[in-house]
Amino acid sequence: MAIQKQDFDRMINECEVQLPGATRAGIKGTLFNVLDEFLSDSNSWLEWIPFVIVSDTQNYTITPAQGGQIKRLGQVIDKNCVRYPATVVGLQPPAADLWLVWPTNVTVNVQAIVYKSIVLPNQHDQVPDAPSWLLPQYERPIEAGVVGRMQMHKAKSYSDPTNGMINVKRLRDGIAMARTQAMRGGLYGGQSWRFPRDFRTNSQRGGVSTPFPSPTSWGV
Amino acid sequence: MPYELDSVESYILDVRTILLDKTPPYRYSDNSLLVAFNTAMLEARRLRPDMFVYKFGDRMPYYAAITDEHVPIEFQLRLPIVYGTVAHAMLRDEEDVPVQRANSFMIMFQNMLTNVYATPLTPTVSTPTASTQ
Repeated sequence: MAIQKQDFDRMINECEVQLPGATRAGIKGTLFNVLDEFLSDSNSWLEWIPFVIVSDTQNYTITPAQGGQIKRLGQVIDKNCVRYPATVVGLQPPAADLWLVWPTNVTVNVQAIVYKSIVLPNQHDQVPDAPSWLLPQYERPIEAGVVGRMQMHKAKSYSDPTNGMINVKRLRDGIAMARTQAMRGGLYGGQSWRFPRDFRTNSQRGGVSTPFPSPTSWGV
Repeated sequence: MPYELDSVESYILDVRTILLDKTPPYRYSDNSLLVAFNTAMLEARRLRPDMFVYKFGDRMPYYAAITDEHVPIEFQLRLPIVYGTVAHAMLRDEEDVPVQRANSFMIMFQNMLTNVYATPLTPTVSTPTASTQ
């Protein structure tokens, strides 16, 4: 569902109050960039896209059904949560081309978990096509981002580089918070789970990643 | 009569009020004020492209007649357009209006677009100095 009108109007009004002489058209233009930065850097807008893997076929094109453009791939899993290693080999907004690392010999229904950002064209009246939860959930950092970016403009009635830097930093703080929340699945007190250090079976000694450790290093 | 400043006609009426040119035959012809109005819009685009680029891209609105045609300028930036039009009209007049006054309107026009406060209008006649006696 798209951004709700009441949320959008409130956001624009708040920005206009803080930016004397700014145009609403200018605020909307800046808002697009801020939303793109927020969603791209926080990975907070994801979608599960179902598709079917057929035997001996490794290339697939997936398109989001709920708006936005695919920025990156999370993972491809089936109904038993078995992962199918895959990578993005091409972006053709809003769609993406996937390549499965290993071909299968059976047909499998899977879901691709993708992270998205906004894409042109906008909706009517220059409202970006973003999810409805975005402004209610993250209004303050996004508002700070719009105000800060506009305050950084040169020779405008609302130019204020000093406060602009502060507001842009508030946006970056909000992005970091949103990224953490998304990574933890919105779970209060949660964390991205991993095995304790002693259970690790690979090593990065010498700064070299060893995804397939030799048998002599197992259990280290 | 208050002007909403939402049409070409209302802009020109307000400009004529400031120019003290509301009674025909006019000192400033309709065509000369239209030229000044369109020129002020072009100057506004140089200083504040955000007023136009999102609506018009690489085009600019142009007005060839004084009608009730809508002028898409947001509320907060309509007065500078009036001052800019007045400035351009005065700059083309060499008979009795000092260039200093035209420059004052031009500075107000530019300052209202690029600063929070408008620069006060410069008096046309120099103020007498206080006597030291």
